[in-house]
Amino acid sequence: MSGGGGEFDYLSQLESLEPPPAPPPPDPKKLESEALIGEKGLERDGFHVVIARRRQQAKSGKAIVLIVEDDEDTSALAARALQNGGYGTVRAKDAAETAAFLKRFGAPALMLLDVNLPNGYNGFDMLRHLRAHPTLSSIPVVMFTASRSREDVVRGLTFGADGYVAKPVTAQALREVVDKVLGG
Amino acid sequence: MGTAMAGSEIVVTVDPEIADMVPRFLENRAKDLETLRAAIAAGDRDAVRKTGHTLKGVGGGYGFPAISGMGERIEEAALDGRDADAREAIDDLAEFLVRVRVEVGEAP
Repeated sequence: MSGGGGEFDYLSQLESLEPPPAPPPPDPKKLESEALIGEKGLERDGFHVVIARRRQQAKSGKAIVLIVEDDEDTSALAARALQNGGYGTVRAKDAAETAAFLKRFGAPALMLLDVNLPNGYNGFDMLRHLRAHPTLSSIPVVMFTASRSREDVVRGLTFGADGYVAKPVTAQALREVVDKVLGG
Repeated sequence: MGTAMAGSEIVVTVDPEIADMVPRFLENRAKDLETLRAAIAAGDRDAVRKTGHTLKGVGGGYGFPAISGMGERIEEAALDGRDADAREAIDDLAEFLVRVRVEVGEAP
């Protein structure tokens, strides 16, 4: 996908929205008990994968996952993992490409959203804007990031993420997370 | 999937599901190494931190947890301003990339 002025206009519309009222902060004890899958090397941090809530399975057709990730290798790995799990994938590198996709095609079945992104908007910014958006607010979002401090995990879930995956993650584990969030 | 020492080689066994993507993955890590060396020489700790963060996130998923570990060391050293530690981790990455040999594991 390519960037352009229209996408930035769209983003500025998102920017002008007030952030949503913050939901009550999740209970960290509960989050830790729900951490399901992860690389063993990350266990000392307490979080690797958190599933905060599960959605209804996609109604029909191939579920499309929008992968928002600026690192090409990570994005390609996620796409391979999900395609092998029966998902369709679309990749975006930053907020502008994400907005261009959403404007053109509407909501995907799920967004996999990196935190550290280039060009002005990080994943948490994007998540807050999405959750405040009149028509896109209910997209299931799984944060997908090497930022795995407790603070970041709680921030992501407080902003309304459905799950939080600490990279690195294997293809199999990533598929399982997406399956679970989509009710599989 | 795992890592084993074999003489001067470091043998890494990768998942068949992603084995075809590993050569490009390693080429990009060689580029990261150049980026890191240029950044540390220029005193650009933010660039060092960012590249370390990328390495941390990408290594394990391809079956290279050692690269994630080195990325984490690089990121944290840059955050703390420990340039000597960052250089040491960058040197370790360079050595790893020279010594690594990839094998494809059995399909599950």
